[in-house]
Amino acid sequence: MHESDEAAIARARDGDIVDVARARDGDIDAFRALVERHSRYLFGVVFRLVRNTEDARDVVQNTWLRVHGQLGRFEARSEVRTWLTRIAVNCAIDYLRSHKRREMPLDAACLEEHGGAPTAYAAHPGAEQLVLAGEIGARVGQTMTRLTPVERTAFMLRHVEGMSIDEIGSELGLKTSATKHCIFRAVRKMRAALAPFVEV
Amino acid sequence: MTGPHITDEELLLDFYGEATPEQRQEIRAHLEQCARCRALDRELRAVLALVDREPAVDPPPGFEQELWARLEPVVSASRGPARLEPVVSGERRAAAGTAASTPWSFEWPRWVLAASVAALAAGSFSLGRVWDGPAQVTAPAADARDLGELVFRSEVEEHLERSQRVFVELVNADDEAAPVVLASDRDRAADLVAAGRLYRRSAEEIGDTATRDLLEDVERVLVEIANGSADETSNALSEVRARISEQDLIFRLRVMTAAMRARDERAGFRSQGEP
Repeated sequence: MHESDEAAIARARDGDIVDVARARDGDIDAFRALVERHSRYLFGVVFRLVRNTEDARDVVQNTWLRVHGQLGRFEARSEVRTWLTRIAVNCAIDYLRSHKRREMPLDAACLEEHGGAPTAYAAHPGAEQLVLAGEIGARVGQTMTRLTPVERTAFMLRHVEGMSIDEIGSELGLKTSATKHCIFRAVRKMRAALAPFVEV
Repeated sequence: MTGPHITDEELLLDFYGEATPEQRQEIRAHLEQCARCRALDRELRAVLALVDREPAVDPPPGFEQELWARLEPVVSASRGPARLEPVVSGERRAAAGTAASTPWSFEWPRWVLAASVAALAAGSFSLGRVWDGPAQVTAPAADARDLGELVFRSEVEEHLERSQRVFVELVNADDEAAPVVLASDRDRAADLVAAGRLYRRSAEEIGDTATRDLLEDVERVLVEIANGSADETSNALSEVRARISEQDLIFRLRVMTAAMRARDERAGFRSQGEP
């Protein structure tokens, strides 16, 4: 990483910690600065879990309300953004639990119905490749919505957020073995859906 | 590894770096010999790479403004210190600044340097307040004051960062390793106590109560660490950890040093590219 990038990141972290301290003392402007700095990122994290713009917006709002109530619990052992992400993930989990979705089966017939028969990626150059890239993105999104909430959450936290299986288990209240199996099941479904796009 | 081939689960754990070193070694050795498992491994990695191709979804335009419009009435209604227990007043969090730090591996006892810095600070402070004070001094006096300010703030910041490192190590150490960490931190803590006392007195002399109060709280815990019993027990460790947590020391140290750095940048003591 470029030195000035590192310095910019260090400054942003310092800004975060100072704003949290001020917000703890009731400084609304400092709290607003945190909201404006991190909401876009949190939306991205939450959207991957709830898969819906309106739901993601509500969850981000609930996240900030929870953050405001928990400002006094921030111990500075992690970065502010990491702390916010954890709260957002927990809010998303709560949301998914309280709005239980129908778990949709994922099998070949289902994929045919929703996505059509894909062709191997390597066979499509140029404009067709772009179309296929869009098709792949859509298939990934489609498959994500068909994972159970806990599978999707465990998988996204591992694959996108880079959390360890132990950490995910702790967040989700699952044993390590159960967390592993959630991730395994999610990946198995992703493979079934995406393997036709892959040329090995 | 189970069976003659590697399982999908083992490949996945390996992909995410969650396999044990032994498992990883076995998997590597097997993949070198087994074309079937190599193909499966390639396919798994290709599928997971495709997952990363899902486009990010941006929030609607004006998202932050709309969000704040909905949050503000609720947040304003509960205006006031948001924490459960007041730990540090706003005044105490008001920060002083400092300049760049030096490496942790400095060989002289910290109190030797602290004594010199405190003397320099005391001399220069007699010409004016160290930081925050109006510049109502003559040019040479201002130069001396700036020098004292720069050196003193730099050293206090480094002192606070060192103290923070000791606390973070103790708090994050697992239960088995913590007594060893506690024992090995004793000398460091003793050195920090000696230096901290000198900085605290200087802060007192110049009327910087925020720094003085924080140094005082830090010192109490460092004394506990420095004077720990010969065979550190889990009770002793728990007490030290509880003290760090109850007084919110890691957070307060981070706030103070972050504000010091920000203030340095504003005052031009530290360049923007300097971490």
